[in-house]
Amino acid sequence: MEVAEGIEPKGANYLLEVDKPLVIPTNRKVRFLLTANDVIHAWWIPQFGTKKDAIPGYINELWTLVEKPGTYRGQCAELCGKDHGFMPIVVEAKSPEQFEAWLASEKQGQAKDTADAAREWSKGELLTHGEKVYANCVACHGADGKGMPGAFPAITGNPVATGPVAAHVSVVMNGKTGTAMQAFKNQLSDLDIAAVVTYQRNALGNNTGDIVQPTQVNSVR
Amino acid sequence: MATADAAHHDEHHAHPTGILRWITTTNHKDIGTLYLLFSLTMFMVGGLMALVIRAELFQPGLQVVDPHFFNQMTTMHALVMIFGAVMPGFVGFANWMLPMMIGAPDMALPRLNNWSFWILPFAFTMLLSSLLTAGGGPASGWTLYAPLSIQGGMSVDMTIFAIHMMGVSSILGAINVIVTIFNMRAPGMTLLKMPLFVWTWLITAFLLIAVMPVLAGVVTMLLTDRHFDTAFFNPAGGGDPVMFQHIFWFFGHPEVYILILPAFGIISEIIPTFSRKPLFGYTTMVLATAGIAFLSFIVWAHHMFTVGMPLAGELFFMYSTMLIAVPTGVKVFNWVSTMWRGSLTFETPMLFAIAVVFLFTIGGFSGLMLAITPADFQYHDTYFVVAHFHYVLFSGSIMAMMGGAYYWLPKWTGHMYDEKLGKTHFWLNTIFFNITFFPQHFLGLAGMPRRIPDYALQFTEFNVISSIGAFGLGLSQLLFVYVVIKCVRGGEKASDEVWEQPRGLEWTVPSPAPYHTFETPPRVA
Ligand code: HEM
Ligand SMILES: [Cu+2]
Ligand SMILES: [Cu+2]
Repeated sequence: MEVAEGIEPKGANYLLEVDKPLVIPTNRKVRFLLTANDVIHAWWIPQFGTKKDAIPGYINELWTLVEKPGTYRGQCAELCGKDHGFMPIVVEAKSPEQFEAWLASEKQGQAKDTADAAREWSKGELLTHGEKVYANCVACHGADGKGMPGAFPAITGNPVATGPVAAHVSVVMNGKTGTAMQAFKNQLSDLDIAAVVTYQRNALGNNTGDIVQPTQVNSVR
Repeated sequence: MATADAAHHDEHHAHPTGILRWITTTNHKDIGTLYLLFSLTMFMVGGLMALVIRAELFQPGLQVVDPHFFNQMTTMHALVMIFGAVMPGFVGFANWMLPMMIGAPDMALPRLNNWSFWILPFAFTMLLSSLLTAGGGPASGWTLYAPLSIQGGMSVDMTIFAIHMMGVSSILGAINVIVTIFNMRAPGMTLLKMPLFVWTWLITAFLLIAVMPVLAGVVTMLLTDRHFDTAFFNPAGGGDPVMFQHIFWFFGHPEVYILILPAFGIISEIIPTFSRKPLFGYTTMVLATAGIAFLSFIVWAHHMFTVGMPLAGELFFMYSTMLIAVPTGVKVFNWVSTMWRGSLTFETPMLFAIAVVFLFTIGGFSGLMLAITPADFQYHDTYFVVAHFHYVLFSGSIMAMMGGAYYWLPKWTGHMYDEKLGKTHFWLNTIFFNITFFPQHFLGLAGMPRRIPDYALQFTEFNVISSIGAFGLGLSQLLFVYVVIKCVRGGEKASDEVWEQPRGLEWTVPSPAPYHTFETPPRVA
């Protein structure tokens, strides 16, 4: 918004940048399957020379064959509401070798995530990771866990952080309606949630001795 | 049916004056004037909305309005221009000219005529006031695609209601046109002697009766989806969003011909007069008009090439759409042939007519490009489409009406308009029009989607040019308003014929045309 309103300068790819581009191999036919879950959008990269609507209730297909490796940028092409102008699409086309390498590293990362989430974690490991994840909480609850009296509750001695474990996990995952406490369910992994809950219960002046495992978080997802 | 005698009495007694005259009038010339003034007003309102859009797009970033209001402006601009400016404008021309052209004293159904006009101010009050509701006006585009339009606020319901009223008005007007043409022609005025403007309106009226109910149907289904738990278009309930588009465009494509056929009629009146030759290929003109009307029912899905149709469907709609270029080409050929070796003069109406032939053809060519399915995969929903439909609608329909206004103003008012100012208006209008819309072709080809409030930096230069053009175009219309007012209030006295030996019964009556013309029908040889 600040960029759009001219408060901050616009970069070369203003409006055409995403946080996670789609990665495809070059010189191979790639088939896309498109759908939507709210209203109709359209998937379009001008350099691919084709576009297709993403329609709720439909699965549409589209294919392309990209020859040159590089970054390809496009936008949603069907009016989908007030944010229609702000729906960029970025495709990263990699040469087959690079693509294989990327794929392998992604697979590795994913395998590691899965293994991490499945195994038993020691208290020390959880506390070290939990301290990092706690960065998501400091804005309100403070680096020392003292909160901001009157506005945001302290974690130190907090009845939730010292009471039953299940309720504590639930607040972190689902937030607390009517307050500034947001749901972290979709933003943090099972491991992150397990670690930060363990951290809150055993640091910042609390000492319940409870340990929460990623598998426990997963079972209440 | 009032006899000529009764009508005569009417004139001397109990003829309301002031505002009541306009509210109660059943006279085709009064009602024609009302329609034309309404159209001009809506043209200005819709034009202001266009300037909001172009102001926002002058530079990348969000400077003037927020994205939600921007979407309301694109939606309203289109609805106001299509249903408020172009359609009522043509009905205004029909009211004024049809009876005079076929030698009738008035329209066949004068009270209906009054009513079909007076519905419109209510419809547009409803539509425009929806901008003031909580959440603002409709913002899903004039095409009202579901499921986006299912989500809007109360303004969508007001828009649906307004569309119903406009539909009733159009259908009543169309019935009146058909009944008038079939029953009120002067002796000797056989169908194939009717001026082309009459023919194009006859065919337009049938299109209106055929498709306005379809529009009414689809917006009603939208309404029941919104409030009565049906799921015609809502996939969550098993409905089909693509069906909305099929029904909408089954109306929508014939609608674009409703917006252009009467313009073809006006051009076909102007060009022969200033070429001092009869219209070349009159019968083929009539047949081409009928052919376009027929084809317009079987091309609708060319607006939906990217929804994922079966190959057979895409091929059918591609070829049927390309076929329309044939009768359209016949028309352009005939206009050019009418001018061929004519003794041409270039008064303002002729300048407009020639510009329409030229610029409409550019729009026809871009239409042909859009008709090619695999190419449309790229062009669809980009500024290229925006450029296409402004070349056919602005430099087709709107400029034909401007030409028609200059052509018949002397007959309507009894005064010549200011030729110098008229020509100035023509040149300003036409140059700024091209500055505004020609660059939009390039924007579309470069990849700028339509209906966006902000754009990536590579689109900046052409948007700047387009916005500058738009403000020039908007301002130059003030000159048009000035010329019209000046002409109504005075000016050189116009002769009965006005131009040099023009064809048509309207030039046989005095200028201004008396309140009742042809109380005794003329004989047509
Ligand atoms: C040779 C004649 C024509 C052809 C082949 C043609 C073809 C097309 C095609 C294929 C499209 C869909 C483009 C897309 O959305 O991807 C289109 C859009 C459009 N055309 Fe034409 N066209 C022709 C003449 C006209 C005329 C005479 C008018 C009106 C006066 C008109 C008004 C429009 C409008 C308003 C749209 C856009 C509708 C929207 O999506 O909002 N066209 N045309
Ligand atoms: Cu969109
Ligand atoms: Cu069409």
